[in-house]
Amino acid sequence: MVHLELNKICKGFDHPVIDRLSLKVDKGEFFVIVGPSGIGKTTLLRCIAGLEKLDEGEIFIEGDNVTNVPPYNRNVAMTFESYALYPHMTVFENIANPLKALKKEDSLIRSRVYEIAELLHIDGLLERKPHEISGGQKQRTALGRTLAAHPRVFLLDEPISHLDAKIRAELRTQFHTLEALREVSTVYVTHDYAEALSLGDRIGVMGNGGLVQIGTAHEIYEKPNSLFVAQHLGQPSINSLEIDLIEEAEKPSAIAGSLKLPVDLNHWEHLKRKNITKCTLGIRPQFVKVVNGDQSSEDNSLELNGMVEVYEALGAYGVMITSVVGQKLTVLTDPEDKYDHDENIKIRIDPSTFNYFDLNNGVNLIP
Amino acid sequence: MSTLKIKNLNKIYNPGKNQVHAVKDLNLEIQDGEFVALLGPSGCGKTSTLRMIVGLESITSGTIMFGDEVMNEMTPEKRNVAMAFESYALYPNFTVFENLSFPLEVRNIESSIRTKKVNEIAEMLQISDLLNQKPGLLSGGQQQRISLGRALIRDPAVFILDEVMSHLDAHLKFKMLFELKKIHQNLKKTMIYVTHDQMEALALSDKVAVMANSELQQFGNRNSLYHQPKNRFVADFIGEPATNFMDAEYNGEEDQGQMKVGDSLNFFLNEESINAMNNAKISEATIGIRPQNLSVEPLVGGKSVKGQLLINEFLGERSILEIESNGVHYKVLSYPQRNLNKGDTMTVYYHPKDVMVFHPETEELVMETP
Amino acid sequence: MTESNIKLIKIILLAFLLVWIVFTLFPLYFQLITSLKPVAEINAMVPTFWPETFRPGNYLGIFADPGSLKSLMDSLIVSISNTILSLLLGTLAGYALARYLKGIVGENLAFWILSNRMFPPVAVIIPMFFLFDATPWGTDSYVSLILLYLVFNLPLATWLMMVFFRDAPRELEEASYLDGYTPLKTFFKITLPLVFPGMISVAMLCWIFAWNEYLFANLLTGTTVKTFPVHIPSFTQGSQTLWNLVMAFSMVAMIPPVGMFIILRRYMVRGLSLGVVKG
Repeated sequence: MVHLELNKICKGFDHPVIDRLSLKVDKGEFFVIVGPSGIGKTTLLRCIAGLEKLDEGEIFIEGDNVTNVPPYNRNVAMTFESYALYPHMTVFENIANPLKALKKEDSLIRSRVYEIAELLHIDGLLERKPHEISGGQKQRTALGRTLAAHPRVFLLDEPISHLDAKIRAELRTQFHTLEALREVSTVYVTHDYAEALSLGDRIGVMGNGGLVQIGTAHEIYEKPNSLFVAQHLGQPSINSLEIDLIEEAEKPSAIAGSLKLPVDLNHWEHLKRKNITKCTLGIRPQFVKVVNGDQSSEDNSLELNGMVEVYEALGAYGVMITSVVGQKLTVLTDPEDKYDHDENIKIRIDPSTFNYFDLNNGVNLIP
Repeated sequence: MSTLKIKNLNKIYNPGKNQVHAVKDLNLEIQDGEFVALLGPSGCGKTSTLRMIVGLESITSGTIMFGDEVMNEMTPEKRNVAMAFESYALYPNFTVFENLSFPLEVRNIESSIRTKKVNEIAEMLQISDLLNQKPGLLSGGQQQRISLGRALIRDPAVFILDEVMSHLDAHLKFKMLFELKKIHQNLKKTMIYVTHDQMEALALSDKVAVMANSELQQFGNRNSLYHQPKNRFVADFIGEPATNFMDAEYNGEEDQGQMKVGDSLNFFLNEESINAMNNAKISEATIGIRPQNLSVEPLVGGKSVKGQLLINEFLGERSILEIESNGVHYKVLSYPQRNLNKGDTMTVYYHPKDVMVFHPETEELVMETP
Repeated sequence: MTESNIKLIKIILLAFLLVWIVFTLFPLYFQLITSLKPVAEINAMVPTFWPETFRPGNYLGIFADPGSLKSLMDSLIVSISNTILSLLLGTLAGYALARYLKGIVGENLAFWILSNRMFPPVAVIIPMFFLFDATPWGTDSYVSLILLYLVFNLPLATWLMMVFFRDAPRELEEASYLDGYTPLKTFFKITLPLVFPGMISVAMLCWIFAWNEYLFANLLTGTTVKTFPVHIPSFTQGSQTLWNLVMAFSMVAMIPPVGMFIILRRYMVRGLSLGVVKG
């Protein structure tokens, strides 16, 4: 059942930011919008909240047209990126504020605030003021204020971007288990693709004023519809090479400089049909594997020689930049391995993991 | 060249009733050309240590030596250390060129030499096309590189970077980590990198000095910090996702070298840990096991436990699975898993050598030989 | 920098500070001792720096004239009323300028308002006299002074409140809208508490101006309404100005503003630095 609907909305300042964006979010759905900084994600949330007036288009919540309804009557709640906690009020009063605005009675307010505080593990902080609590606690207070009055739509604007990696991981888990957010619709905005993939029931990648691709985490990661989407989901970013496509004796190849890579026949079918001779080849770093010792190669994969330029252990992976026949490729390895600068290595790639994108508009050429 | 030796270093602010003992008996030796990180949460003493190395803070007791020279009384400008600051601290009314040449100008170095060095540094840092601009309008990453360049141009013996990545967004940070590594490879200078982010520290440095509560917790390379953390703090602070900790009981020979968590969750220890536990004569401990060392694919020679899947976090290149076994929650790092759903029964594999045991009181790693 | 150099500099600075303190506080000191002298002593050829005779009775003497107490009351009435009015109107106008009038029009309007504060009061005395004379309440009334002082206090109040409102984060008001409060309720519940220290310092500045104002009070009023600056010249005996009584009266008149400053000094500093520091 559609709970939140955006119909061809447009919003611009001195330049257009949102251009005919449409979206339908179901009841109970946790929808994540991901995109680079500055692309307009916050503007989109503010439009849904009513803090910005639309230039064109309409917004419906539970079937009601709220396009011209001011924010204080929309029954929508938002956590701001900067938390926006009232400095002169205690944590209790901050969370209670939306309930007070609805003129609920004190006993009801008290029980609701305690309920939420316990849920978010901030029940010991209720008498403190915002400047007396840590970043993670401020975030949870802001979240509590959003949850308090049972709004129709939850909007979360980069709620955990400014926190330490460890606390972020903890709070991600909390978002997973917070049932309250799945009672109605939630729209969550972030620039961190891992957060998006982790949390969203469906994810919208924002670019060029609209949502470039909408789908489940697996859909958009494994089948990005454009180079833009492929590049933004993944760190390190997908390797992209400009290639020429040739066919020699029924064997299709991709040529980038002196590097020659085989093309999977299934892909070639589509490429040949569209008469593609030049395009952009995308290979995700985790599909370029370093060969250790004498592992026998599986069919279809190609082995190449490479030289290590830089190698760093970054968290759960080792990230290596290697030059292979004149082309630079980023490779993911086990962080326990160690590679030295200028070391010679063998890498293996499987052409069935390749992506092909149009050279000009970046569209994925394989449906 | 020379080794940087820190011996029994102490710093006390406000001696007297309200004193703050910011650095306690720090001992550290940094070899020439090494890239060392000072890592720890805010308030751990790393910034105070840094300031004492540079000479911006007086030393309460102990010595800092470069090679054979004691540096304690030397003023900063005589110490041949250069520092890049968290806030860049670029001179806004000078062009990039002037910013970079300033340290040399102050030392009365000839103009032609200055120009040559500025061009060299600018090329290395890829900012040659920015030399005539003022820093105010440039991006964070560009300002970052100018700040590094200004510190590097003096050709100091020791190069210090103070939380230089904290204001960069994720993409830029990723790029800069590689660039810094390349710079170190090219220059082969001693670099000290101060940060609270363990990923940065482990990525860049040869060795990491982990500090907490004004004390050095452990000084070692990535391998030793990962696999032989001295205490629970180090095991918890280092590594992402964070180590899983569980309270467990040990009943010696009866349990055949297993740690019992709760009623029916058992983890096997390897021989060394068993011997260590027997020597330590303790019946309770905290065990730690890293999500990276747990697997949902069978491991040769590994043991297993059973549990239920609570959360399957798909993160693109990997998945983090939260598993529950008899009320105990822990995380497993694995390749992306499409077909695992909440509620599925899981078998989780591990190698006993990866089970770390920490003393319940001292929180130190229980080892055979101390 | 050797240690002795530093010591020398410290001594020079201290000496300078002492000279400065004497310079600043001497008038106050002289005022105090004059207020305690008998008439004969104040007329002495060579002024004395310590009263030969103490006459604390001067302080009671000034109130022998019922006009003295009345003048203090009148000053209080005018100052308090004007401060409240300036603050009220200035706050509302300042908010409007900060939030709703952006762009060239808003900037120009704000500057024009402030510029009214810049021209010399002397230039408008005569027009003001005729203006108020034409009103039903005339020149010699509380209303005229209260309204007149608005001309100078209102631009200041508006401008300062505008600056304070500009620095109050917009997001807090937006959060309040999303909580369900209308802009009006938000203004009172969220915005005003944020600028409260600023309002206090604005109030104090307006009060000081109204309390000490002599020129217009003297010209427009004098009988029905007589503020204390206007009353001061009345301490004469024939052709002799009773300086001791004048000083005593001035000391008494200083009590309200100085007292207020002392009580509210915490807000003063916070208020004036509100625009400088964030968070």
